[in-house]
Amino acid sequence: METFYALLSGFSVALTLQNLLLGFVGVTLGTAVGVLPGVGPALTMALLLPATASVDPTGALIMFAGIYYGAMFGGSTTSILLNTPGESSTIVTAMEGNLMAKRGRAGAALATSAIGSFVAGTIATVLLTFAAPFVVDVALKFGPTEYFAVMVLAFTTVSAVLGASPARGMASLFLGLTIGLIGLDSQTGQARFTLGIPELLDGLDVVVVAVGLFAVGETLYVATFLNRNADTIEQVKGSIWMDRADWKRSWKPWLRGTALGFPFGCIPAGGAEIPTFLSYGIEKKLTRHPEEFGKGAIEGVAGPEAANNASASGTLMPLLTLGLPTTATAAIILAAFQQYGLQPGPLLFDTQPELVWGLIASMYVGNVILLLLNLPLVGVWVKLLSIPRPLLYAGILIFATLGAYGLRNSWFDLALLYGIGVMGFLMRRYDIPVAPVLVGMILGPLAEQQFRRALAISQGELSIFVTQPISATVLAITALVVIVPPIWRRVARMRAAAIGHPIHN
Amino acid sequence: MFSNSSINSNGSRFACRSKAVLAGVILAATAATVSAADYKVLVPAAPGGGYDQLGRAVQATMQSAGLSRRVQVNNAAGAGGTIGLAQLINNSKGDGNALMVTGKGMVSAQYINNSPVTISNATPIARLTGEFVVLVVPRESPLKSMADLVAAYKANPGAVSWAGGFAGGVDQLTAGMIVQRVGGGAGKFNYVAFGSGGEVLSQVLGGHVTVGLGGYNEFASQIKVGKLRALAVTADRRIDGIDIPTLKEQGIDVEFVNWRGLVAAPGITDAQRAELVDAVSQMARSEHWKATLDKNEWVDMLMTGDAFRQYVDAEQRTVLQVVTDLGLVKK
Amino acid sequence: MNARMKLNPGELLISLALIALGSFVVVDTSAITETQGYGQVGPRLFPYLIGAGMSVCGAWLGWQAISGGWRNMPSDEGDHSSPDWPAFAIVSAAIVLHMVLIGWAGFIIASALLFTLIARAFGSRRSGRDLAIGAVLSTAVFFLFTYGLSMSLPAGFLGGV
Repeated sequence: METFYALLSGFSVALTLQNLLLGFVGVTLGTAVGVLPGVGPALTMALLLPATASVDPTGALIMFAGIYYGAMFGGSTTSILLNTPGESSTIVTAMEGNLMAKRGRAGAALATSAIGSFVAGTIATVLLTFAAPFVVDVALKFGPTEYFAVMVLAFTTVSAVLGASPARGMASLFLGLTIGLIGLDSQTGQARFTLGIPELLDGLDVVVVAVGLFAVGETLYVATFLNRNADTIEQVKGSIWMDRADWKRSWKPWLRGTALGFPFGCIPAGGAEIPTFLSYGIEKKLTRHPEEFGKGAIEGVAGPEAANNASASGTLMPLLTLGLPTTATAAIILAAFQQYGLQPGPLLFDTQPELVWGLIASMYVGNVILLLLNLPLVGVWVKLLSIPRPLLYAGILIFATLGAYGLRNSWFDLALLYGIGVMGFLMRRYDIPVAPVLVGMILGPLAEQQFRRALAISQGELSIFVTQPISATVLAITALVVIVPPIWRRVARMRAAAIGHPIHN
Repeated sequence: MFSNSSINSNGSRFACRSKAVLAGVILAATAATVSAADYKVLVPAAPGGGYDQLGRAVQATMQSAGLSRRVQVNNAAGAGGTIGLAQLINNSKGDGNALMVTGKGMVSAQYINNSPVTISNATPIARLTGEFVVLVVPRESPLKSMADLVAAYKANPGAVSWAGGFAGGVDQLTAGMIVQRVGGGAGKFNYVAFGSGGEVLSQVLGGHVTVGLGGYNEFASQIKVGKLRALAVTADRRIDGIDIPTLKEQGIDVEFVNWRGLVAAPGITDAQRAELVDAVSQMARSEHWKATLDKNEWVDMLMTGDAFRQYVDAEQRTVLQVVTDLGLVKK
Repeated sequence: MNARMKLNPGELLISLALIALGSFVVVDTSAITETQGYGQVGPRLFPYLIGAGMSVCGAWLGWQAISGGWRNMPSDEGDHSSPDWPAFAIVSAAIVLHMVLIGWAGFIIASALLFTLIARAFGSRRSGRDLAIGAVLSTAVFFLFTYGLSMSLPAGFLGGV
């Protein structure tokens, strides 16, 4: 009950005209920078930090929370419409979302993304309000051993994105793992596979790889092979909104995506990408329309979009209660706190209740603003697709190159972007799926580092992965995920054969 | 490779033309002793970290103190700061308005990454702030002091895991110096590198590692509520208001400060250098800067001109020795 | 299916390239100094596994290529029958030109030219109009970034104007 009253007083802070306005500015700005690849919420906040020194802390933090939310959502807009992920957490959205757009269902994809983000953001905020201490205690139980087990589980989702041929899918995965090796080895500080190029010491940026594979690769492919054919981007068909079937197929993925995204936001080194992969994998397994996956299935947009937004809210939990930043964006929010001489952590709820509860209340408000801002815009966004093809692709490339160049004002990143684009072109031409590259590139380094950390702490004792309870449980679940479906299919086939109805696949 | 910096300054001049007249009037009124130039501050790291915070604090202070009409901050992240260093050295030669944030981490990174350029190529201007490293254990840990930690280490070196930031960073250097001083083999300690101070914090709180190392600010709030116990701080004497014993008090003769400061481009004239030193000194003495230090709990470590140049040279020798002892750099 | 029975040189080349890349990873890994520390696992284990895995995938695909072609290829051979290589070349040239120009000609000029050339590659005949649209778009983006977000994009010689 105490929490409830605290929240009510928080709303009285969040709903002042000034704070509403700041929330609105934040969400709008966040959506704008989310749309641009390479310009993320972290950079935007860092740029705004000095400017907000004159605003009171509550207002500034409300604006920053708005930027974070808005960016998560804005990234998905370009993913769906232009196949150019604005943020690494919206890479999965580009897969099914853009295919939906090509089938004339861009409106439904954008709507399920907006509403899913709203649902996930709101549920996650409720969890943040009432379950914070408990969740944080669980999050702290995760050490390198547990993280490694989670990475192994995440790798099973690769099977969902392998495509028509396991050989080509695995080749693509290993390509991603190889790209992930490039850079300094964080345990020993040694350079690996950098070919003596200093720009490669920090590894390749995942957004550059994603934009190269998706946007540049696609531009090259369409120009070379499809441009002489009829227009493949279909104009928006029927209602631009979600119909009854869309709603029915979306609400469960929203909830499952939230359940995946939130805990990943709470743990350091979780990030927003892994839950989007997991969500995609689960939705593909559970869907009643498996034939639509790879052609634009709404579940493949709804789940990951809910997951990335829930993860954004989850991030604030360890930040507020422990002063523990789990992402780059959270680190900037932490810096913002420090700018006002505030130290997030166990004391914050006692010393600054108005600020904390004002911020939490503003997250509810921010979610509503995000929805109100974006639903009407869906109609505007889909019009982008009626731009003639030459101009559309020319525009996409301006943003793709801007994103790569803007990282550190270096022509090297543009050369990299083109090289990866050519790779994407070849992969598309020979039907090698590109998604496993990104899965491998993100998960590979994480898995390696956590594995080596865990072994260092245990002094080389491999058995810790099965003797630690959380790690053992996660690995057992992984085994079930891998083993059960094939057995299940075989049993079903045998049973079907027994009663004389052959089941295909 | 094209010179971005000169182009950028064109851009900023363009931006400021309309405001310049107004700013000029204000400056004439405040009778500033240095000409209010446009400065560019290169931050050799991504937004959000220590270098970035310092760079943006310099920007805000210089502008508000009327020492510059416009300070433009650019980030060039990568390789422990050596990407930014290379940009400054290669693209800004002779540019008297270009500054770059630097610090102890960069000194280490230039050796570990085998950087073709070093801080010696740049022009040292000033050391500004410093941060001490603390060693923390969770509340439940049986270790109460450095003596306990040293005893545990000597009993079984591998069983003591030291968690800190990336390999070759200030945390590993600190741990390495301590181990060497108490008689452990060079580089013979179980260092586990994590991606960020936040990760180290969670690993220590969760009891997954024996001891964590990091800047005092990163652990401050958990130390205050008693969830973490600080075994030692690397300052030369106790810091006012912080009840943590130093290493020296506990008989370990190690002192370590993670300093940060500013360097300018290579090849600038003595007059340009003097002007920059003057401007930065004025900034560091302003009220706004004092307030910034308080707010961020940064330790004021102002040192300018030739003293700083000698300090950088000495730091380079010490750090090179440590990273070589740790086996991070081949002899 | 008959057409697919012929050896596809592209498939074979890609398979060989994958084997070569995997082998390179394995060979280059041996140049990394092994420092196992207390974990018994150093910086070499994962690169070895990944390089080997990559070579195996390449060999698998290579075997498929010489025994009837890659499996389960989509039936969009029609799309590939008349590749428009000039278009590919123009797109490539546009990106490379952008890379060369952005440093000294500035973001606006480089991006406007990129826009025009890409549109040309996609068959637009009205290059004057495209150049105008590209210039407007990149100018808008430039001002949004440099003044809205105070980020730096190269202004080039337009900066002096």
